[in-house]
Amino acid sequence: MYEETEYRSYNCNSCILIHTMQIQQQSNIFLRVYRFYGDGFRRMTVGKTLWKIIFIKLIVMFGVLKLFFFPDFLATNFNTDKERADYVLNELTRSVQQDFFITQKNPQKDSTKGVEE
Amino acid sequence: MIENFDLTMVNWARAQFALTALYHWIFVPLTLGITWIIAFYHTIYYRTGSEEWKNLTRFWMTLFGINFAIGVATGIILEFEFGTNWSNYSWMVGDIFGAPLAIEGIFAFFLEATFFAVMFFGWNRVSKKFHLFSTWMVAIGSNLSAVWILVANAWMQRPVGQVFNPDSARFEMNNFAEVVFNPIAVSKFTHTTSSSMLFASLFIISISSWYLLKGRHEKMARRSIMVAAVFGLVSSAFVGFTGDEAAYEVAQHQPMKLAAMEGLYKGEEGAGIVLMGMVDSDKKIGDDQDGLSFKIKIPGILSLLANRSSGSFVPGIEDLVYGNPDHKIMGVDDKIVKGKIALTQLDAYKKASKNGDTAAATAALTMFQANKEYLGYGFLTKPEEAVPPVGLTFNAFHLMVALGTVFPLVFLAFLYFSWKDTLKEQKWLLKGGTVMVFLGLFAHWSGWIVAEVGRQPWAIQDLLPVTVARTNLTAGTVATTFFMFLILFTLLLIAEVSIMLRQINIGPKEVSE
Repeated sequence: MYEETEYRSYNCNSCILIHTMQIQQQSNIFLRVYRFYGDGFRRMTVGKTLWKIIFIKLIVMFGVLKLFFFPDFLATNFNTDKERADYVLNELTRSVQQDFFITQKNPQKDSTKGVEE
Repeated sequence: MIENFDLTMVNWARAQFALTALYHWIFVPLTLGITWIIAFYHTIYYRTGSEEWKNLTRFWMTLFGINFAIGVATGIILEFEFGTNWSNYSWMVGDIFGAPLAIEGIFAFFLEATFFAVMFFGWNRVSKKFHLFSTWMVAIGSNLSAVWILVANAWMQRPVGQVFNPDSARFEMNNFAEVVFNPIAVSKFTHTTSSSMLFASLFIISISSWYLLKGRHEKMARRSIMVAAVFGLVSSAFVGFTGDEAAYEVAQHQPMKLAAMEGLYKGEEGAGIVLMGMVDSDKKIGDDQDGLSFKIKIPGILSLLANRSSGSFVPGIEDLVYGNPDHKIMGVDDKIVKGKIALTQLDAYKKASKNGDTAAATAALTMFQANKEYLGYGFLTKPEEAVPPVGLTFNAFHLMVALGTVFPLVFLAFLYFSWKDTLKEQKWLLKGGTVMVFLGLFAHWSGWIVAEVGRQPWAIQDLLPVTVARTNLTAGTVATTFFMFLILFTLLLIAEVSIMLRQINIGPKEVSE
């Protein structure tokens, strides 16, 4: 677009012609790529069955398994990263909290909870 | 603490992950390996211009395409499982794994969208040079995209380049280079890719042997075997070399895994490697039994492999569990104490931060930092919990090594009889050749069992046991999805095998014989 404006400002017909050819060549490249893929897919023999399998597999994976059976636990149950972090921290330290209560009942059992107590 | 968790749920989640990973691992090594061999076939066609080599290349390319199509996206299910069954783990490692897995995704996308298509659709439609370039790029790109997932796996085995953030409960990457060039990642990548090349060679030999036995496509089969046998032989040498490097890294950073691999309960100076042996199922850690009811050992070799010195000390399971002051090995009991201090201080830091008590938070954090490398041990209740399943690890390791020793002999035999031009007469070899692909798969699976079962109980070595990495779900929920996967995977496997067999049966029909 920038080059086109520049050519016009010089009012150079040949420049516009060259640029138009460049655009055509460019669109030819896109067309060629499109045809390359299109023809490739059309000429497939085994590939067509394989694409069907891939398609069905992806639908089953994302449309059924992920949607109904594999929710992201933390993403589903918590709204913010802070809540998620707190939950995981709590999971990690749950054991010492439990041990702490056991230690309260049997103070002689554990000697590593000095700071906690 | 462990008895407070639903171990049944953990075991279902483990089984589901193992099922998915093993299934996924049918397709991956073939994709990684066969792309190189196809690139060689294609290069020969490019240099000779022979239509026979072209058809041969196209035939193996088609089988690769079938394998790729059925295998594609099976790895995504592992990511589903992380979020659902292993949410604590998933949250904690998100920062570390985000970058490598994103790079893998980008690599895979660009590879598949461009060079992959040119490789398949490009016959007579792009220049021969660009077509060949695309085939090589598919081989290089596939293997490079495997780097990142292996970097992530290696990080779990040796978590380097990270710092634990006690506010977010996440391991955060502080040194990308250290994560990428983790020595375990390097040895894992080289060992995985070289063994994948070996597996692909076995795949080609199996199918070509079948053709020779049936008297079909003989010229193509002989040519395929010749290249695959040379490729397999060279790969075997790399597999041996990289396997040695991998074992050395295990010895240095996961000595418990090495001890389990060798069934070594009591450490030795000049430790021998077990050539053949049988694990004693009655062995209890700490008793007087040896651990192996039968064994043939080569003295000094394990020490040499583990420490590069044949007289050096290799710790056994009991040295690592109960400690060995003579060799400055800390017992798990002491590590549990330090781990519990780390956990207690993490809890104290959390509470102090919540209450706005900065001084107490700083004191707790300092003490946490001093003990954080033992964090995972704080979740164990007794030292013996730090021992992986010895029998499974030992058997898988020895099966892998035994098969890895047989394969180069198979390649040599195929090469020798190909060179003598009497391969077709060696029915015994061809019959044996047809099953080699299955043995190759067993060797690969065994390798993964060693890597993953051998590092139990850890999800992240020394920092997070699998029992804490899991999500609070019921066993029934995970069991349901386990069986769903089992059915889905079986259907996909049936689809792959039937399409593959049909294509093999059709064969490279354009080859003129």
